[in-house]
Amino acid sequence: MPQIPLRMPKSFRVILWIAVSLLGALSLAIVALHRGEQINALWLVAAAVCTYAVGYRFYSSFISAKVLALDPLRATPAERLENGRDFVPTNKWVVFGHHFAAIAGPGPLVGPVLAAQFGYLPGTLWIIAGAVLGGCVQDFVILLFSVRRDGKSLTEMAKSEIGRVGGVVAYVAVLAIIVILLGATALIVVNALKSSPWGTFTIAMTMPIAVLMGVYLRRIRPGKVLETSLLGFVLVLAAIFGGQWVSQTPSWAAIFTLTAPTLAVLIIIYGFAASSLPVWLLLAPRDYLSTFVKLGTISVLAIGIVALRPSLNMPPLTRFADGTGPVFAGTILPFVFITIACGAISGFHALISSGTTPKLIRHEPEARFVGYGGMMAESMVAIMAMIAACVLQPGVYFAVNSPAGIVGQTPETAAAAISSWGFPVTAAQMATLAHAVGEQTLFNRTGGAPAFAVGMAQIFSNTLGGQALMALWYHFAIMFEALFILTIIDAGTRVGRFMLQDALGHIWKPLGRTSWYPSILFTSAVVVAAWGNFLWQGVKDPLGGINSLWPLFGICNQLLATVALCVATTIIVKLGRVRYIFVTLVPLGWLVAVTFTASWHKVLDLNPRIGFLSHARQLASAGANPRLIFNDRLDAAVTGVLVMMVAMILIESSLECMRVISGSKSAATKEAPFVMTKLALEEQA
Amino acid sequence: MKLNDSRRDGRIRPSRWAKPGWLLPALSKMAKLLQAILQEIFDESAYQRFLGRSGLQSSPSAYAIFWQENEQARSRRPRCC
Repeated sequence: MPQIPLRMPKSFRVILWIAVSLLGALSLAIVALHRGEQINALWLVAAAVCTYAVGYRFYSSFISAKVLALDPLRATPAERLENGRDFVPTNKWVVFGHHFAAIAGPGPLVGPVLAAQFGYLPGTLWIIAGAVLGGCVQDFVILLFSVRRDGKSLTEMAKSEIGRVGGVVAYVAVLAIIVILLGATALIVVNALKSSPWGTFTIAMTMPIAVLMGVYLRRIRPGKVLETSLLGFVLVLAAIFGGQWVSQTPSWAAIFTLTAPTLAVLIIIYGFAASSLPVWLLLAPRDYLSTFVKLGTISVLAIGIVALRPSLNMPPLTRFADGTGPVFAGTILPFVFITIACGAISGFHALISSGTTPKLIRHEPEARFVGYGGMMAESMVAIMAMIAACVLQPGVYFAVNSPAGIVGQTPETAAAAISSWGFPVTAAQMATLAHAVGEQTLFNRTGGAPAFAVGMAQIFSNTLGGQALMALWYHFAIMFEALFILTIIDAGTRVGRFMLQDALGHIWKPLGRTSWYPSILFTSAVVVAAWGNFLWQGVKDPLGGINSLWPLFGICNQLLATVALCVATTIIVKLGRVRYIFVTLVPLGWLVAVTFTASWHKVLDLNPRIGFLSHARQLASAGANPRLIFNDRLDAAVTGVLVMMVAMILIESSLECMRVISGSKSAATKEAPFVMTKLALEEQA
Repeated sequence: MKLNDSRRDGRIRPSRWAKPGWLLPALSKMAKLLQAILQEIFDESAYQRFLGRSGLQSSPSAYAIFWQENEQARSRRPRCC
């Protein structure tokens, strides 16, 4: 029997949407204009939820109808090419969950925490506006265009719709972003685990747990992944409790108390091993465990924020809007827009939207829910991370996130420096907090993960278990983020290795054979050496590493988004819908403006805390280690080359659009031919 | 033609929420949907489809073949930042 969709009377719907819009406007006004006293975190949640709801209901609907002309009668590749393996028509909620699990990573948790140095306002506004007008649109249109091209990847679409340069640039940008992402995120793990026997023990235990899960899944209970993940989760919880015992037992604590360089070497060795071992043994079980913990923790955090309604201690704007911030140097414009990528707009999502997801979409109109809606959910995670950072006292936030190179080596000098900025904090207060979370110190724990963990522990410990459980909450959050990141290191190294093998296979065929062990070892070593170099650079950086690596990662990610929006804009022009080009052109223009400006600052700014080259000059004049000088020059060269390549794709895309608009070239897109759906009609019957 | 338009005949249909006893079926449907989502995310559905396609019974050797078949695709699947 066909189901009757729920329809409310039109008058009621109009009133409802007016109410949602007014609540959203009121919440945004309170978030933006409130000064002096603390505000409740729920205002941020209400502002985001209402804006997303209005954006989804009206803007995505407009894009669906006018720009993309979603066609419910057009068979998707999941239907036409169904093979039960890659192409499978799947329920839209299931695809949504699958897509969200793939796009949600540590980015939306770390970026907002770092950007909170400007106060909660700039980051929050960018997350909301960036998602509704940029990120959601990018994910949606790329997903739909991939669906209409039999699930083609972004690189393939760039090549076929823009030209050969487009394909090469997309390929290089993807490889560069993977390498820099892995280096930057590995540094976050190092900073979270250094001198922390509890955290190090817990994360070390996740490796034998993953191997145990792999063997259990393969030999004892084949295919029972949920059951195995639950078992792994219980073991990880036991490891967290075990970590507390380790940290309190001096002989064991000494073994697991590691310095940053030691941790970096261990992570590099781990990355190489994970890339070379069979997938089922380590990578897949860790991925399952990480996804299980990720979905659970994000849900618990969302419920916690709504149920506990914490107040924000961070002001809406701090003095560091002027670019002198200790977490990373640079003014709000453009740096907040590259620091927060994944919660607002992330080029990496275009890879997912043109990867597995388009092969699962059952009906074309469902691309709207999965693409636009999935990014809204991701953006909500970023809002939660912003809240977790901003519930901290600002003095505590800056004590955790400021590198020793800025605030000094001792707790007393750091506390004095931070207090002098107008954010009072004492060494004793930080010692008490460190003791409460089971750490030796919380000073100089840059990278965002420890600050997020302290915020999350503070939110939960106010109600669930009180101060007694604060240390467990903190280490649960650290475990959650480190597990996330190590999974990305596993998977990213392997993806990078395959990309390299594909490319090298054109030069010498055996290197392209993904099952030939010498090739596996060689290409794994190259990829690990590439990101390991950035990690090592971050560990040795006197400014803490995050100051250089996170902006570099943000620039790469936003340049990839620029490539994705170039592809989307070109296709819209070729579809003959030039009048609606603003849908992708506005976010594209904005990204070009902020990313190119940020790149210019990072390469050429005369302030040594911002510009790579001026920092290199400063180090050279001080007679510093030549390796540090080389690192700065390398960062400048990477940024410059990527910007030039993206400029090339912009020019090629613009020329292609001009040729089509002027009529000198026919507007032929490479869509798969129309085939009438049978699925939709069968379901309708 | 709009496939999901319930007002094609001009009538407003009664809401299904207005019927008595809607809560349990709705909760049961939600639980089933959640289970389906988790099974897809955790590749349990893919394994079931593989068993159906290959006509094999679930066993360590069948699971090994499933992994062999999926290893390449899985290894190339990026996880987002």
